[in-house]
Amino acid sequence: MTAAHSISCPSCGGTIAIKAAGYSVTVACQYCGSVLDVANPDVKVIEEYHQAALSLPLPIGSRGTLFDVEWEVVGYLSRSDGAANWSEYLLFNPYGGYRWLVHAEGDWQYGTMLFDQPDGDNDSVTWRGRRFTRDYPPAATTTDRVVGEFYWRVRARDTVQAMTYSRGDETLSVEWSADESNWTQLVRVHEHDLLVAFGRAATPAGSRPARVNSFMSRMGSRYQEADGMRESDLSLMFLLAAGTSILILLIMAAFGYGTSSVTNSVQITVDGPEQSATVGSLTINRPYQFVTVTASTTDFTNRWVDLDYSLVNRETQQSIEASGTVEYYAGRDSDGNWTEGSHQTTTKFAGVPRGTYDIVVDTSAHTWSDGTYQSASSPWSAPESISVYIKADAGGLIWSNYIALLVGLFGLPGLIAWYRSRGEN
Amino acid sequence: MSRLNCPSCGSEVPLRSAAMPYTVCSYCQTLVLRDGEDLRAIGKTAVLPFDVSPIQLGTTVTPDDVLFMVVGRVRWGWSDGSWNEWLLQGSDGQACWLGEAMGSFMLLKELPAVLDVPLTAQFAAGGALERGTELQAAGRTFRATDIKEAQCLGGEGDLPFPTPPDWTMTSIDFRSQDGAALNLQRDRERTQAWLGGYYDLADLKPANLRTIEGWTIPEAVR
Repeated sequence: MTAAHSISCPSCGGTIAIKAAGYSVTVACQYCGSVLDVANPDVKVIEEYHQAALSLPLPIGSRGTLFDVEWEVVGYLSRSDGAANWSEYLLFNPYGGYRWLVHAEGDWQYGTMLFDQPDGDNDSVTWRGRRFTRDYPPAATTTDRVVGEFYWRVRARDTVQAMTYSRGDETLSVEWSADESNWTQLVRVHEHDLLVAFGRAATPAGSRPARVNSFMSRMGSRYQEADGMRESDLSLMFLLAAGTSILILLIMAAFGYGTSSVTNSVQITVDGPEQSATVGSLTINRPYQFVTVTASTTDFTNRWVDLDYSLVNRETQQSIEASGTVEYYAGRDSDGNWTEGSHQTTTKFAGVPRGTYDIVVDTSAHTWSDGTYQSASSPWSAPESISVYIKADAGGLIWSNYIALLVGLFGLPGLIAWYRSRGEN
Repeated sequence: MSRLNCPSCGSEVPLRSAAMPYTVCSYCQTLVLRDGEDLRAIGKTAVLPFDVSPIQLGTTVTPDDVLFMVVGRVRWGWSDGSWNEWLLQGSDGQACWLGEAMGSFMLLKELPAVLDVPLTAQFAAGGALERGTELQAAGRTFRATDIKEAQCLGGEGDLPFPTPPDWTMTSIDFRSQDGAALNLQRDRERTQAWLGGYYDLADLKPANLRTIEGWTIPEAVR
């Protein structure tokens, strides 16, 4: 049973996948912003727009685990009450129902609809034995912009009355219109934790190198004062090169260090058909990251295994391709016994953009014969097979780039130093 | 379990609850009236629109000590949406309804005594109730939170009544401070009162939930 069903936006023709079919009543097209009625099989335009797509900190369709449940962002509302603007995200899990994320001035709150009603008056309410005091008088809250799908009839400029009551970091919010009222409990979530949960965290490398940098400059002043290093800026060049190379190494490590890894194994028949397998899915949380795929095989000789990898982005279905070969040959010639190759190969994908990827491998094994080697497989024996263990990590360092950087950084000062030392002699 | 066949298309009609006189053929949507071994086609129901409910016919829930199995469903629509009412047959013989809206659940048993309360009696007689109206029932104060004019969208499985498309009703949900739920439903013929509570899916201790592609059934409800 599929979870989504698709409609075409009658306004712009874009294909919209409805994630909460049966619950969703209104869909605001993510391409043109038009608000559509999907309560009935015939999709109707409620309000036509031709807006630019919004770039949201939590895009529609992104998923994250909060409080042990995986949630998908299905809707977004931009709201205001005259005094403030804020955003509300609607989260959905078919087994968990709906939750909210409210984003105001850098603060995030996680909202759960209440079925046990708080009791009280305009100034304070009691809920589950605790007292909450009112934050501000009832205010008319207007919805300014909508994207995604909702389980109620929503449209821009909708207005409801709203009021909040607080106790420490916890807020109870109530909204009411003519025939419906709803209470929501809101608890604070830290922005960083939230963005990490939804794979939208900015690189955490920012803070660490900064600290290292100031440490380096303190080290540097002592180094520069050392005898024999004062006359020229050569020492500064070396220092800058050393500092930069260490900084780059740290940044590479911070970007490269694996946050997750998946493994799988495939059994392939030698000279048999190509086999396709999914290694697993990896989430890239940083804007760009390396992905390292290592394939190791069971023992074989004079065979080669072709590996074609695809990293398929779940959201865009775009794929990044790369290939690898595991080969191992042995034989005997006039120089004696020789072997070539190994039973392992590593393939690196550089700069994989943020997203969740399914790693798919197409693999096949082939026989190589040098004319003297007798194939082990005979017509009546079971076909020879090779097991390939594939491990994919989000992370990994590309050392060749780093060495090129070192050469670039130290090359010139090194050359000068060498030239000077020759001159002194 | 006896094998019965749809009088319209001939495919097998599983008998989930012998107590329910009506069943909807899952192949041709024929509404079948069951009278012992005798099956009679009495009309067609609409094909239910696709929805992502985690519940399906055959799902079991054990909210307290009694095991209930889902044997039927009625889907209701109103101007701004729709909801499911799943019929549960208990292992102790009693039936109750599981209301499903906005991903949350309401487990309700019929409580005719509520209709003796003057406010509900007045509603049953055709009067209107406003949002916020307070009602004393089952030792609690309930407040009307939701009033809807609904139309039957169709049904599936075994049901105690037919589900004609021209069937309309007024449904009022009441909530209390302790999470109890009270529901009044009035159609052309009668008014019924239902009492129960709100549940998370996990609180219902479900089994045999529907598998929905792209989602993992969480550990808590497996």
